[in-house]
Amino acid sequence: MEPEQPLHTEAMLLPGYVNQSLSPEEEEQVTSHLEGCVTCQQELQEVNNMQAAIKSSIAQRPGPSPAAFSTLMSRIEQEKQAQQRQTTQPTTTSWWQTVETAFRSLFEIQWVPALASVLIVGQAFLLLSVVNKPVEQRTQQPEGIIERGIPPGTPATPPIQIQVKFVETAQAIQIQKLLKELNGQIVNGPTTEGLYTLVFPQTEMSASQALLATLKGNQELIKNATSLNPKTE
Amino acid sequence: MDATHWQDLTDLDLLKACVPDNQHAFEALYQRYEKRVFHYLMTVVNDAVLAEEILVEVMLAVWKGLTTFQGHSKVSTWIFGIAHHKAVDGLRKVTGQQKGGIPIEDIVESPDPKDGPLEETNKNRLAELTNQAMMNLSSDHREILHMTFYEGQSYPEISELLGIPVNTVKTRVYYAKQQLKKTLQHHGVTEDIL
Repeated sequence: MEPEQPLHTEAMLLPGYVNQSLSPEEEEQVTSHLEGCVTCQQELQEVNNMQAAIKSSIAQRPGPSPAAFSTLMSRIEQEKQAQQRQTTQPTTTSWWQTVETAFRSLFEIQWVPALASVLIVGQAFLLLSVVNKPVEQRTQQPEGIIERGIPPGTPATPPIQIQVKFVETAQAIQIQKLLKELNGQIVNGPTTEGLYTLVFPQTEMSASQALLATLKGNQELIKNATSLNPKTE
Repeated sequence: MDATHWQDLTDLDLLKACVPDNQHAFEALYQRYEKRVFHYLMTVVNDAVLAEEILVEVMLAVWKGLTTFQGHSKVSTWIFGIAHHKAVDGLRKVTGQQKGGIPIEDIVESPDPKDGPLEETNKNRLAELTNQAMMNLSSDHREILHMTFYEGQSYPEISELLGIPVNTVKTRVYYAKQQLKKTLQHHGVTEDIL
């Protein structure tokens, strides 16, 4: 069923007019309208009666039971206790919780992957820097006396590599003297067969042959010598 | 501070007196609003047990909100706004269930003709019929009639409380009144009584 439309807009304001809650402008509007509108005067009477009936009907109802207030106060007490627990708990354990939290944060799982990544990258850089370092900077002292390394040379002329076996009676000081004279260095050895690899800077193609002959000729110190450079063979 | 003093305070002053944690002031605030809120809840949910449960929830929410009330609206509008939301929640919970509460017509005592003159009896009878007619309306219509005619709230206040435009309030009050009139006539209440 379609609701009945009010004849005048002022009829919509009558409930507010009756409970005296309209703005002064609206009240003036309704008062002026009522003076010349019989329909709205009847409507006003109806609204007045209805208000009285509604007020009377609701006023007859009983109020809530006293138990409602007791329940409310009990609930409020529970809320207060809960609030007190929230405010007191942090202070009683604060020092311990602070320390524990600080330590826990150090071992938070979220830091582990980041830390591992940093360490891996750091190790990679360290490794690369060692690998790329010139050989002469990685020299060792075999048996505490013999210096090893790749002698200085130009990249275009590969060094001469000769494998030798020293005689059993050769002294370290004698070997050092020979290497100094020939501007050579021990870069490897001894192998299980007692072989050492010597390296000499190459100045010209014929130097390799001459060097090999010199070494082979020094039978006082060298038992045998073999060139490791393919062209010298 | 005695009880008389609390009665003299305005709603806002009484509310301020409740902070911090003045149980006597809060008790006075409760007493001032318990019946009004309960009656409103009865109008909306039509169930005395549920209305009482919601009343406790409403006043607990008021207690919790004592320190945060900004004073932008009237205290009564604030409290009835809370009641409205709690009532809507309460109704939602019982939707689809058989309402097990005590019907309003069973709570309202039937007038006894011996109690007073005939005129008074007729008045009580009209009130009872109005109650019954109200309960045949939708909860929205019952609520807005209660707010307008019993609480005497203005259209803007009801608008704020229910969260609907003022014009919607005006039309809803008008149609609710028309529906109530029809229902009362159906119950045999003649136009001359209305």
